Amino acid sequence: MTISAQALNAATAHFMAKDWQAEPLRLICTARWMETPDVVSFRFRAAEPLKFRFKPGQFITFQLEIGGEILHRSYTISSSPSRPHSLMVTIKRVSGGKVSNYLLDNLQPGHSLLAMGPFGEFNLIDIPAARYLFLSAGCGITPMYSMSRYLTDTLGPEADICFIHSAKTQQDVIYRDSLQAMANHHDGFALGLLLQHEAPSRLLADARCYQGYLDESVLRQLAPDFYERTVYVCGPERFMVACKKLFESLGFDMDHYHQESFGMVMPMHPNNTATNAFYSLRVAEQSTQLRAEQTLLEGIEAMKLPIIAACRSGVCGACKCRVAEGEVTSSSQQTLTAEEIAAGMVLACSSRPLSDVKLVL
Amino acid sequence: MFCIQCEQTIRTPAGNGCSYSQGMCGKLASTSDLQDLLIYMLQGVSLYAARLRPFGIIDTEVDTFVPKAFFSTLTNVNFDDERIVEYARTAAALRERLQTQYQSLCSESGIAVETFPAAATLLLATTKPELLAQAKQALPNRGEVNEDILGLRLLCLYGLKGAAAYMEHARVLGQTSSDVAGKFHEIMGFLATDSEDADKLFSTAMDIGQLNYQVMAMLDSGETAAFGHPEPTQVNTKPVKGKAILVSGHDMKDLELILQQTQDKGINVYTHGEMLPALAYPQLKKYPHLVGNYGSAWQNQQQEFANFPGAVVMTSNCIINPNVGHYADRIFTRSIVGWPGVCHLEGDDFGPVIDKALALEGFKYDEIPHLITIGFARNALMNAAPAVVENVKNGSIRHFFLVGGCDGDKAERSYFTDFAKAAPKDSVILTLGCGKYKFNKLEFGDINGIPRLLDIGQCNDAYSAIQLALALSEVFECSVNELPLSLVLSWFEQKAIVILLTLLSLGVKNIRTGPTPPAFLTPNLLNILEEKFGLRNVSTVAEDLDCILGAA
Repeated sequence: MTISAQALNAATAHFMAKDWQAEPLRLICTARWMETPDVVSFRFRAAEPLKFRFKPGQFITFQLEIGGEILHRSYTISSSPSRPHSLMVTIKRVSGGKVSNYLLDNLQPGHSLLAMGPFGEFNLIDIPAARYLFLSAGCGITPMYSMSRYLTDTLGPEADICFIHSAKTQQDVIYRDSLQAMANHHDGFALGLLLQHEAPSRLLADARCYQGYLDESVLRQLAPDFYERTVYVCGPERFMVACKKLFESLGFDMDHYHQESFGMVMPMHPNNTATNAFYSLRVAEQSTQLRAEQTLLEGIEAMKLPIIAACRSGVCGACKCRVAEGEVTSSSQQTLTAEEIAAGMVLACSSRPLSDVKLVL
Repeated sequence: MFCIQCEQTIRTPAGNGCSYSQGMCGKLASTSDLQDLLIYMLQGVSLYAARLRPFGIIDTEVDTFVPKAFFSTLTNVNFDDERIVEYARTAAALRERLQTQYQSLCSESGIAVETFPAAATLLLATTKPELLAQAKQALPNRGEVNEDILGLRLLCLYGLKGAAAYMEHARVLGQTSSDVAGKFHEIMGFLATDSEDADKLFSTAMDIGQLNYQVMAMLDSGETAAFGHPEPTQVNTKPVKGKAILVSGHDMKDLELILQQTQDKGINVYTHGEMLPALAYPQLKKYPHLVGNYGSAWQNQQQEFANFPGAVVMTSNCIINPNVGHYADRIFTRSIVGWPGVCHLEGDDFGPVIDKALALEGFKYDEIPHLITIGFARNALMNAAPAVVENVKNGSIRHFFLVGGCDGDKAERSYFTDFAKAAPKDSVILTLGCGKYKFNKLEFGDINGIPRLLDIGQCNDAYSAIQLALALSEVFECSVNELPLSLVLSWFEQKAIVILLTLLSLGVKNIRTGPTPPAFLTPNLLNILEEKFGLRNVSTVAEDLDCILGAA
């Protein structure tokens, strides 16, 4: 058997590749496949060989130009940095999801796009633990999958993970086969599945599988030692609210309870009728009009004022600014200190106007 | 200089028009003045050409040259003084040729030689300073003249300039007409007389509109004969990996030559701006290396061309300063287009463009394709007409909007984006010209399978829109003005002016134009146009939609 010089060089180039530095990066899609009927995973490589170094659980932000508009959307990296030569992102089709649906409809192997990151504090490094309880629902599985893969790859039998995932039906379980394999090969990885809309079939016999929602009894059966674990939660807003309530009611030490607060959060439209409201946004001498559903960041960028907005998801804190006059509603205050919040600091990417607003950058 | 021909012209309380050292388009005062002088000389040529026609003397070189050279004075076409002077000298030579013929014919047949306006006799100076001194008498606002009369003269001058541009586009495709050329010379010559007859000027403007209707029909048959009927086509608006050439302007013949010469060379060809509709013509889309459209309308070219990693060809308007984005060394001009220091290509050999593209890096990556559907010109619209008619009859389609024309960089132009977005879901939007870039990448959906956004083509494909309107008016047995159809036109330069004149001359009423009225039209003239044709400027989107749909 002969190996072509070119193939050998490519493999060598990847072996020698440098680590990813946090900077804008062109990614090239190398594969896409369906995980479930409405969820697709995409695998990417960098334009030049590169080792993707990130904290398991972090996300990247894609920058896309769709119809003349520059859009940014963040997606959790679902692959593990223990397998650093490619990057995986898993995207669900959502009604009205402009970017997600655009990617599902158009992104094919060979296409490239710009990404920034990695970002995010919901990860295994910034939230260290010895024993893990991962709770996810729907597409919220993505950080848990990355974290599980990382822990089993690096710790092997020492990984102590209890992973409970909720999905509507069996066919909606993202990474079903991989999770099963992980459970089969790693004694320290205990998988539980909750299906809301159907009874478990024997296909899932290996996993401990239940019908219904996460409640105390299911929790006690699947994770009897949950009081001794650090809890990581990610899923739709409703799921996260319910989980939090459950653990609080059980007297759980909430210092060991962590949830991802981006992406899954429902858009904040108190009601749909308010979207016609226009407010003025003033910064120094400049002003612009802002609709109630637009973020302060959109207004600041429309005025072409200097602001750094790295993650655009209320996580990195780069776009903080001070509300001098007026009222805003914020979906995230991450990285802001209590003093900053008291002083009127907000994250421009995560705040929307409730009145005319004057900002200080 | 005095130039007031496009939308971006200076407007001040003291008066309108670019009259300082440089126009808002970047055209230097000297270039503007030389262009005025060129037009003056061309009018002289036309004066003789028109007089010679009754003698059966038709000089095809003249018929070709005058509209073509006139086209070079259109907004954002030619900024190169030397080229303009060259055109003026050619005009002087042609005029002399015709003058000699005319005079000898007169003496042969014993007819008295007519007295002509000064444009027929001005002796073109030799040096540039002298030419610039001469240009004063050729200024478009020359002499003491009532502002309404001046406005009408300019309406005719700029309208005829637009028609001249389309004549040249048609000629490139082998479409010429001696009648059209004759009429053109007659009007061009008339404009040299500095008429103060408002009625005559007004009827001339309508004549120009009618003339242009014929020209657009010629252009339509030239394009469809050469490249087939446009067909609905999905086109990619994002780059693909590889070496690249970008072709802008309106000249599809040039695009075809480029496609032929780049075959199997590993170069991808993209359309830009008004060339986008070319992607729907069978004889052009058959080339697999015609990969899509890049960029948007002309006013964004300084950024888009700067980012384009290949060669750029400007086949016609609009070109703006290539030095800003540092791509003057990889942009090429054709035909009447010119920019000082930029390589100008004559003839059919695009070798220098190909060499340049091969030497440049090209696109390194495929981007995620963004597909849009184009190609709803006359034939495709007629094929869809029965379905359209049925949907109108069953109430699924309430209204048609023709939203199109030129694009530009004024902020007020967001009106057209907002209008398209706000148009009700049971309405269909037809579009044409580069004004479409204000909304052509948005999602509009369909009505029972009929796309809500129908891209008809280039600005001159207004001809297709008119044919559709006429066909619908026959089906519904009503006049075009009674159709549930409203026209909202964006104008920037003279091609849009002449299309407006064509529509008005056909009796189309209640057209809205924007974003601002032409600066050369006085309040009096605007009032007359509103009274006569219901022509008015756009207001707010909400007000205009209420007004249109409330009335419908």
